[in-house]
Parts: sequence; C-alpha cells; structure tokens
Amino acid sequence: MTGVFLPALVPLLPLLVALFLPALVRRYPKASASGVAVLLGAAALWMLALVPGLEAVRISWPWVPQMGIDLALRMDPFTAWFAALVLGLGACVILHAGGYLAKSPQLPGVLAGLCGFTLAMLGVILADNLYLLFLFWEATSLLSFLLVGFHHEKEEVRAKASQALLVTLAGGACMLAGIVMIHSHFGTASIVDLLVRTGDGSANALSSGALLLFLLGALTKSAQWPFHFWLPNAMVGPAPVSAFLHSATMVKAGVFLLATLAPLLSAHPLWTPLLSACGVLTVVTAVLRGIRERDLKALLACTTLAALGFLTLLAGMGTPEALLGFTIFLTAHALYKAPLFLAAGNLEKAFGTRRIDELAGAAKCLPWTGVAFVISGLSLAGLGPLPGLLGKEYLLKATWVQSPWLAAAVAAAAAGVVGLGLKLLLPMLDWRRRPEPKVAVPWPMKLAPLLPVLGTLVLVISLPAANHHFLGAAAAALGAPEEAAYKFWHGWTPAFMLGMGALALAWGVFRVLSRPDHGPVPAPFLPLFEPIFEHALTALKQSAKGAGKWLQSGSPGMQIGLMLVPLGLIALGGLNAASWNPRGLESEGGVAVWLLLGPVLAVAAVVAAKARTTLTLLVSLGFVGMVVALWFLWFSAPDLALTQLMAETLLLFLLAGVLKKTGVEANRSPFSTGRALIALAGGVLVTGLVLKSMSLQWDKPISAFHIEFSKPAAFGANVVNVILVDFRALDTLGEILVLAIAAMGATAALGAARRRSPLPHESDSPWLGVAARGVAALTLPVALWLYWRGHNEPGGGFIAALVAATGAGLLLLIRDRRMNPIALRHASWKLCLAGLVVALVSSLLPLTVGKEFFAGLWWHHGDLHLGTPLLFDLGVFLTVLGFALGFLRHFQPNRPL
Amino acid sequence: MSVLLAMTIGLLVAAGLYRLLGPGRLDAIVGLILLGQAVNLGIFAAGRLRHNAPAIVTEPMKPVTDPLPQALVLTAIVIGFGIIAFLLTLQTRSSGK
Repeated sequence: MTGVFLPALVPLLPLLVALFLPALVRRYPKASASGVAVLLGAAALWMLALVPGLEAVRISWPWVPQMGIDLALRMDPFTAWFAALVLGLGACVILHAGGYLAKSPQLPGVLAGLCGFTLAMLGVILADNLYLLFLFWEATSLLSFLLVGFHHEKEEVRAKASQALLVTLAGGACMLAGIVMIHSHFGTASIVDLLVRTGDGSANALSSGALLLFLLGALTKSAQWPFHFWLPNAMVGPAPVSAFLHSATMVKAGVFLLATLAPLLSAHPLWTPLLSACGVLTVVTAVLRGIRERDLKALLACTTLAALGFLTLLAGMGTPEALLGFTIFLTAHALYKAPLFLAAGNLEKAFGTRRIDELAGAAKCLPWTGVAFVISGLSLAGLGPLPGLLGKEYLLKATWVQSPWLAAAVAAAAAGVVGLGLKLLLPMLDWRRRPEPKVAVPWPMKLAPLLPVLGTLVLVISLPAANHHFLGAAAAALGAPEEAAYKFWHGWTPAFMLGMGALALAWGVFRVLSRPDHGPVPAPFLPLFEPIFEHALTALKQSAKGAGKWLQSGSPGMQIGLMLVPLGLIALGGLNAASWNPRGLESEGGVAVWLLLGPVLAVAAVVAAKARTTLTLLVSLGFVGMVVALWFLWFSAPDLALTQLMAETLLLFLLAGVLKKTGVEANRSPFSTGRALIALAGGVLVTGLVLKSMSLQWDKPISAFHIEFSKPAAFGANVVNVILVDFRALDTLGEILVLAIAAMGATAALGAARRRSPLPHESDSPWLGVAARGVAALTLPVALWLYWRGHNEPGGGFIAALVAATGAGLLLLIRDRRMNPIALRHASWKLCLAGLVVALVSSLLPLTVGKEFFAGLWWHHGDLHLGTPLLFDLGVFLTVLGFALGFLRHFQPNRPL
Repeated sequence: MSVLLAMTIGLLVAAGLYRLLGPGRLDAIVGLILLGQAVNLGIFAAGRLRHNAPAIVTEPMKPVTDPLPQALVLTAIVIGFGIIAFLLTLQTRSSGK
C-alpha cells in the first residue's frame, strides 16, 4: 500500500520547497515563478500517470488514536484525477502570476500563497480523516483571504476579503460540529470507512441537525444560495487568484466533499431536496445577477456560481448517473474557467478595462489570448464538441432519470447560462471594432491560458482512450457505474431534445438582452442575503462594543464583581458534589481556643474591612495575620505558624513603606450595601464550602505514604519539610523560580527610578539603632540554625530565609548605611541566582551516579545524615532570601512611621 | 469547633470581598491579603484539625496530622507574600513615586 502511495506524494516536495524559499523568489521573481510552474506541471503529469489502473489506497499514521483520529490520506482514480487537475491548473496560474504581478513587490508572497493554496487543496482532496480534511479546509479559507485581499491598501478589498473569510469560516465551524456528530453517529471519521456503510440504512438515522451543520460548511464554501454573495465579491483579487479560486480550488472543495459523501448520505431524506433546491436557486440567482453585469470578471463569477449550482444539484441527487455527470462537469468547468479568468486578466492588463462593451473586438488584437478565451467560452456555453457540452448532456440525462420536470427546469436554467456565455463571447468576436492594446502582454501570460485549452482539446480528441483510463476510472471511483464511458452522441433522447430547446431559448434570451435600447435591466427578484449578512455583522459588532463598554466600565469593583459572581455560581455547584459526612467535622482542640482566638480574628477582620486610616489598617491586618499564625500553632502546624509569622511581619513592613511613600489614605469610601451583600454572600458560600471540604472522607490520604517513608527513605522526621525538599521537590523548584522571577519583575518595574534616590540618613534615635542592630545581628545565626534543623524539627529553608530577611528589614528601618538600594539590588539578584543554581545542582547530582532526577543522594556518619535534599533546601533558603531582599529594598520608609 | 472555624473563615472572606470591591487604590490589595489568609486557613482546615500532633515522626506508629495540606499552605503563604509584594510594587510604580 505504502509502495504506491508514497511515490505519489513525491510531487508535493517541490511545493514545499517553493513555499519555504521566499528569498529565492524575491531574488529571481520571473525565473522562480516559471520554475515553480514547471515543477507543478511535472507533478501534475506524474499524478495523471498514476490514474490508470490505480487501486484505492489509504495510508495512515496515528494522531489521536484514543479518539479515532488519524493522519490518514487516501487516493483513488477520482482523487488522483482531481489532484492532477489542481496541480496542472496551479502550474498555469503560477506561470500567469509571474507575469501579471511581475512589477509588484508582493509577488513572492502571492507565489508562496498560491503554492500553499495548492497544498491545502490537495490536502482536502487526499485527506481520508474528516478532521484532517477540516484542517486543510480551513487552510484554504485563510489562504484565499490573504490572496483575495492582495490589494489590501484599499478599504473595499479588505471588506470583501473579510466577508468571504467570515462566511466560509462560519460555515467551517458549523461543519466541524457536523463532523463530530457524524463521527459519533457512524463511529468513524474515515471517508473510506464511511463509504463502506453505504446502503446499510445507517445514514437514514443520522440526525437532521448533524446533516444540516455538515452541509452548511460545504454550501458556504461552494457559495451556494443563500451564501452565494461572497463569491462575486471575491473578484477584487488579482486575475490569477480568481482563476485558481474559481476553477479547481476553494469553491470546488465544497462540491467535492458533497459528491464524495453523496453515495452514503443521499439516503438521508433531507439530502436530495435540500441540495437540489440550493443548487437550482443558485443557478437562478446567478443567471439573474449575470444578466445585469457589465464587468467581465463579475460576469465570469456569475457563470461559476451557476456551474457550482449544477454541481450541487448533481451531488444532491447522488445517483450513479448524477456522479457520472458530476465528474465530467467538474473537469470541464475547471478546464474552461481557468483560461477564461486568465484571459480576462490579460485583457484587463492590455486594455486597462474590464467592461465588456469596451472590450468589444478584443479577441483579434490579442490573438493567442483570444483563441483561449473563445474556445473556453464555447466550452462554457456548450456550443461545439467540447467537454462543456458533455457536462451539460450528462447533467440533463441524470436529471431526466430523476424527474422530467426537474430536467425541464434545469434546461431552462442552463439556457440562461448559455445566454450568459453568448453575452461573454459575441462582443469579443465583434470584427467591426478594433481596440488598441495599451500594454504588451508578456509571454508567460499568453502561454498560461493556452495550456488548459490544450488539455481540453487533447481530452476531446483522445476521448475514447481517456474514457477508459482516466475519466471513466475517475467517475467509477466516485460512484458512477463501472465501465463508464463518455460520448457526445446518444441518439434522439429526451435529454438531447431538451438541450436543443434550451439552446433556442438561450438565443432568444440573448437577443432580448443585447438590444442596445433595453436600458437598465430591471432588477428582478434577487434575494438580498448580502444586506442581511452585513446588518447582522454590524449588529454583532455594535453589541460587542456595548457589552465591552458595560463590562469594562473602569471601576475595579465592577470588574472584580463580574468575575466573582460566576465564580461563586460555580462554587455553589461544588456544595452538591458529594454527600455530607458529619463525622469529618469532628475535630480536636475544644471550643475554648475558639473563644479566645475567634472573636479577635472576627473583630480584626471587620476592622480591616472598614479601616479608614493607615494605622488602623496596619494594626488590624497584623492582628489577622498573628491570630492565623496562632491557629496554625494550636492545630499542630508549627512550620506554618513560623512561616506565617515571618511573612506577616515582612508584609506589614512593605505595606507600611508603600502607604508612607504613596501617601494613600487607606479608605475614604462610604459604606456600600451592594458591596456588603456580595461580600456576605461570598462569606456564607465559603463557610459552606469549608464545611463541605472538611466533611468529605478520605479512606486513604496520599500523605500516609509520606508519613510512612519520611524517616526510612528521606532521613527526615519533619514530614512537612521532607515533602517540600524531597517528595515534591520539583514543585518547590517551580515555586522558587516564580519567586525569583517576581523579584526580577519588581526590579524591572522600579529599578531605574530607585537608582537615583539619595542614600537614606541614619535614624535619629540612637537607642533604636542599637537595639535593632543587636537583634539583626542575631537573625542570621538563628536563620542558619532553623535551616539546619528543618529536616527533623520545625524550620527549613523557607522559614530561615524569611527570618534572615526580617533582620535586613530591621536594619532598613533604622536606615543603616549598609542597606543602600544598590547593595541590596546586587545582593538580591546574586542570592536568587545562587539559590537557583544550588537547587538545580542538587537535583542534577543524582544523574551523575545513574539515579533519577531529584532522587536523594545521602552520606551517613553515625547520626549525621547529609544529602542532596539538604542542599536543595539551601537553594530554597538563598532564593527566598534574595527574593525578600529584592522587595524590601523598594520600601525603605524615608520618614519614621 | 469545625463549624466555628468555618464561620470565621467565611467572615474573613466577607471582609476580604468587601475590601476587594472597594473603589480605593489599595482596596484590591488589602482585599487580596485578607482573602489569602482565608484561603490558606481553608486548605489547612480541609486536612482535618488535630491538636498536639505535629507531623514530626519521632516514634513510629504515633498518629500525626496530615502533612500534605501543610506543605501546600506553607508555599502558598510565601507565594502569596510574593504576589502581594509585586502588586505593591506595581502600585508604587503607577502612583509615580
């Protein structure tokens, strides 16, 4: 399987090269465009050579195997045939772009965009997994936005490119939802596996919602009514881009997907009516719109819309005959639409206009372009033995089998399209006029439209052979009958008669329309979906603006409140999460301690909430912190009590410094009932959550392991410290890293301003100085002692560092000269760095003796146990000390409190 | 006892929220300090409250309190201190002094 497939992907390699070498493209723009075109052309021929006798193959690599999503590609004669078309037309388009945009500085970008577009389209064609297909699908949307928006300096172009993007992306989002639902319904997201289920009745049971969502993606992409409006608007892109978008890529992705899944999904009762209606309405809209157009490209866009409508109709029928028609119609359309657009680009370049009446007689002034335009136009109109005629014949044939009435309607619609074709062709052939070309057209632009025309002619001449090896095989792979063969003459069938009738009707329509005195064509009933879309978009933007204004009122309270309320609602759900277990609420310690500490905490909290002066605020916050520390101490957490005590001291120190410096009076706002109510509700909710969390029962807490192995495996009796520096040391490493980064951030925010501040003066009070120096001198030894005993008794690196920092804080308080900002800054970052290095070294040391990262290495001598966790704790000590010093230096109180 | 502790934590939260929602420049920071205390106490309480049984295993098989919430809260205190200190820095910076 791989043996066939991988060589088939080789042609994609030059594409990748072209995509990633914008420098080369910039240097040799002309040569590189032609070079890429030659590479793509060779790739197209290679792909084409694969088609005869190709067995359906699939290749996949696991991607998200647990969800059944693979990076899977498939190839059968139809996809290979289509891929060859894409590559071949891509070659022509890139060749043309090299000439058309030769003077544009953005040429490299456009070439890269076109190459990427080719790749994305090939991905859509060859992807087997629907999710993978979706990725490529969205890539085509994004790339077409960039390409259509080529003249992005113009407001109008930006608006139209955005419109195309929004419509196709919105459809794509719906399609993703549809894919998920189809995946869960059929149990597979692989196209090959899905098609195996054809006819087993499972498609009938697919929910209509899923089908609709899925179809929305395909219909928006293929610009089907009522989403048709974006396609004519996308004409603002340069000619080669339009040629590619309209012929083989982008819009063809939608109908391709429809036709691929048609055998399976047409069993669903909604499929055929919905797609037939959309298809017919699209054709009607396109013809009505085309009648009024005088712009060459816009008229061509309308004929594309009509062709897409027919293709959707064929995919909607989903019968073998319809898929037979689909294959030839798709091929014919790709082969005539690309040269038409490329030729239109040449005419625009040469004559500086796109108005059909001004281009009258242009064909004979640019003979090569004219030949390509006329042959392709004949194919479009179905006049003469060209693939376009085959497409229309098989379209009518397939519809006739379905319903003669439908066939009559289609014939009438086709007559309109033929009328449009005549409107395109006849002015060009007007021999009485001879407009003068203003600019010479370079050879790549002349050659590019001729190549697909050459392909068309080869196809027609070699039709019997092409039938067997290429077209027939491709159609059969899509679902048409085996041994399918196309021919022009089927005898005097009803379809043929209808076609003749359509031709007569078309001539009549054209005669009426081309009368010079018919004045402005009356606007017939054209469903105005574009204004609806635009209004909806404007309304959405307005409401977003309104919501933004309301949500971002500039009041912090409002802002925070808006975040808190949903959070509270989520938390409310937590109250019902599990059952209550009153036994968990039992605790030791008695009510006496609460009677002692509870009221103090309650009063301090309320005072802190209402505090109006700096001093009240500081004192009340201090009380809160100290009571919490005492609480920790009472409930068997000496380490926490120590940490809390030290952190609280430092915090108050900082807060006092800020309040003194910024001169902010703590609180002047009046009492607010709303705030109080939110606060009260939050308090009640948290009370409930705390009770709930205490009432939950664990059968076996994780910490049972920690307690059991603390002494024997980690040689430490203080389990809290052992958890921090050994069992969960990686977490701690992350935490000290965060602290170091916070210290650096603070330095970055304030560093420059502080450097110029004068050195602080010594304190006025000599006694305070002596006392503070005495205590500060003690803190370092005490800190080292706390660090050392931490593994077995309350203490450890965190606590030790905070104690040492308090000593530095005392020296700052008396404005000791050694505590100048620059010295502190240096000490801070050096300590942080040293601490991180020590911690990292201690974690990496075990690797040198073949142990795991962070595994403890120990050295024992009697009762003395030394090991890497102790070293790690030293790193923690240094980092936290550096961090604390880094912050303290910002808050030296210049005036006594 | 547990109920009383939970109510105290709730009161701390209420005080913190009231402050947090205030319009003043330092209100948010003071509110966060109070909320931080409440959250630390809450996590601590979720690990069950035991008196006189610190998680220091000097003799085997003696039941001790759950050390894991304590380890979590210990780092939470330091990190919380770091956050508040950073906010204070930004406050100083934005007040331009």
